[in-house]
Amino acid sequence: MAQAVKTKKTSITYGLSTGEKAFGIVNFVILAILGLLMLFPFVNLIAKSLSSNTAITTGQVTFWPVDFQTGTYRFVLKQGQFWNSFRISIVVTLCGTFGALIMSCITAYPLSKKWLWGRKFFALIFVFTMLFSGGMVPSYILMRALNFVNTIWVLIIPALLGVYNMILLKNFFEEIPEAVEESAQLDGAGSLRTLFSIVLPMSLPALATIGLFYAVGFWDNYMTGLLYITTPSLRPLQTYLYQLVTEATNISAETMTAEDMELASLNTEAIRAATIMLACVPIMCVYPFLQKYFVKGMRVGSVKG
Amino acid sequence: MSKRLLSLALALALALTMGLSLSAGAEEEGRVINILLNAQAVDLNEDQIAGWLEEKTGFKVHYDYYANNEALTLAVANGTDADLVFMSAAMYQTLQPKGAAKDISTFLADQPTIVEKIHANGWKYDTDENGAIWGIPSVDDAVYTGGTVYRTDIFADYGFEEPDTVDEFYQLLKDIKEQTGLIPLTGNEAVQPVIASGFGISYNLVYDAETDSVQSYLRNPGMKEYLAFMHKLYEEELIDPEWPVNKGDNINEKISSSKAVMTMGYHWSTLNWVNALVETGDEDAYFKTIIPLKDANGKRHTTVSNSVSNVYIVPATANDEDVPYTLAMVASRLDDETYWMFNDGIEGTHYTKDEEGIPTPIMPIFGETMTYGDKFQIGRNQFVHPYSWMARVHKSQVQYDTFYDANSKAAKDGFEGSVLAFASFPAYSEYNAALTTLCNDYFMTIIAGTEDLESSWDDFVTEWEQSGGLELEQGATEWYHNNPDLVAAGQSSYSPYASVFGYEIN
Repeated sequence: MAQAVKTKKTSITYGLSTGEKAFGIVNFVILAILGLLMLFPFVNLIAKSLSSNTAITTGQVTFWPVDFQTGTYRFVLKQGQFWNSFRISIVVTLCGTFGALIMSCITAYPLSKKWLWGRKFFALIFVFTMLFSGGMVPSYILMRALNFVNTIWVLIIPALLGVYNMILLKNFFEEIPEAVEESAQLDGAGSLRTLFSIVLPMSLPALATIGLFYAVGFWDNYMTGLLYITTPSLRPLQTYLYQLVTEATNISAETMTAEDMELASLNTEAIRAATIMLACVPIMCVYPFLQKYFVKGMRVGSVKG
Repeated sequence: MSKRLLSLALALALALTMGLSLSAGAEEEGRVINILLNAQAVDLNEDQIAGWLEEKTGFKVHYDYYANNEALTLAVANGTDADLVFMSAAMYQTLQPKGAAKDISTFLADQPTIVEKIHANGWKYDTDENGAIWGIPSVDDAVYTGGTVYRTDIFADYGFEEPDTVDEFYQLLKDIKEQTGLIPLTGNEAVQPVIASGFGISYNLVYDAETDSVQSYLRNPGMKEYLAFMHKLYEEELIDPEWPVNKGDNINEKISSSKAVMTMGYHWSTLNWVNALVETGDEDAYFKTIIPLKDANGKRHTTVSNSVSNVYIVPATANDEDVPYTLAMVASRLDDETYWMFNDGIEGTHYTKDEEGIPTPIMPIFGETMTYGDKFQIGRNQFVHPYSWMARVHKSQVQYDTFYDANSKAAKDGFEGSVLAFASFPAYSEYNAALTTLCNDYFMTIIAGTEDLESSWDDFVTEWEQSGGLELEQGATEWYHNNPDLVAAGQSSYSPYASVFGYEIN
């Protein structure tokens, strides 16, 4: 059997025509260039965050640090507001992702059952909210009426159910053979037991993928913080970053922030770059751990039996 | 029996009253005034100046921040819990007419310090025709923020001199290009104020005595001449070839790497340039300012910022009972001694004063401690501010020299205040910013030569008129005639810095 597979693989490898090989090479080169292009701004940011004020001001920095220094990172890491916002973002992302996965599962599972009474109607209600939203002002009024404004809940609860993600999960659940669930039920498992002991373990790739979507969504969300949070201790990291970036470009005659932030050797552009880098690191760390599920998960809901 | 009952009732009533009064006292003691402020780089609640203020004045203040104008509008429209809300002048003009603010005129009567310490121009701006006062204004002093700065070392090496007229300026640009090979002038301004002054251009709306109306600078024949001149400079490469696409970073880079000799510069920008130039080998690098050029009549049009920059409002939803306490806190911050303290720190520790009372900061402690001091201002103390602010200008000799050089030179020929500096009327908030952008975009296409001035001018003016320009001019003229006090305030070019520095404003 092993021999057969090997032979088959060999024949496939050598089966490429010259045109196909050329296409593969061109494809690879173009995609590599595109990939690098996406990477360049990032590399530029890293270089700036590690360069001196003079090097940045005189435009010497492109993709490699000039007059290497780590003072900018030390400066950013010394800021109490950075760590506070970092903590808020971690809490929001962890609680939000966990809560969102639970909400998605318990919504998607019943909707994936063809025997559910009113299934289409309920599905339609969810889809409707995906297409139409109340708008900024009604949402604000609602949040205020719920006393969510200026609380951490406003960063978590309104985003607990992403309908798009829920539909992906529903489609994945629908692909699980009914016979598997039936056999569990024959052994006496109820709906909840079936969901948590049979369906969810079989859906790990899908859960990992939409979990990642949720995590990135919670981590990157700055708008909610902008609109609903005025207390600095509750400001998430991306909102802090947004304010840092917009303020640095609006240095007024009165504040003269550039000179004041002990910037004899630092530069506001470098501080922005360092903060952006530090804000990216945690969410970038999540990707490698979910890599193995990711390719599988990308196909979630794409084929319906 | 009935006596006992009566005594018991009295004792109960007494206990209740005592309890109530005790709890009321405790509430006053622990009372916190909430201020909603625009986003700051740091949390003012954590700044040690907040602690000093609380200790000195006894008022406990908590700051919350709105991230942008949308967030401010949402918060104010939905009944914010704040006692005071900071607004830029533009947002104040948008939200105040919609009922965002509470009339504080009756409360201000009990706080004469507030009224006295803030310049009368601010109160004129904030008071409507019925005598209602809608906020606490912060009045900018007439400071000349800066002109075209040049490299003194390069000028000295080649024997160049500061120009006074458009012809002299043109010759200077030619000489710089021919003799140094450097970019004579970099920038990205559609209306470069130093050059535009040479053509009689100052503000985008000015009063015209002949027609007795406020007119756009598009009506000034000098505007076409200015644009033709700028295009000529661009074509002859006497200004930066990247003028239309330059961003602040490019300009910084060109100036601080000795690629360009001149640009628009301010006292807060020259320090970084000098530091960068000295570090890279130009040890004598320094900057001075070319002030606005004289026009054909020998007049310089030096614009100044003497308007209201921001207003603190008491939100319309605030309780009347809370307002006196809030205003008492505001008054405490306008007290002369307190104002000095939170702006400049403690004499001998954070700054020293010379015999004329002008402070010099003690660095680095001033920079480390007092950076955000001015963020605690609620209204400006007109008597202390011009002096206390000098500490900020004097944080480095480079900054101080740039500020003094520009202001003392410009003051000789006088400042030109804007008649609309304190303007607030519907067409102004609706059209002014958008039409300025429309003009700037068009001017840049003329400078770069992508459109021909002669063939496109009339069409552009028509487009400008149809996009709200006519309403803007009409509204401005009406406002001008209806608000002589505010017009005079705008034109007065009130500058306390003249007395601070000892120079005369002509």
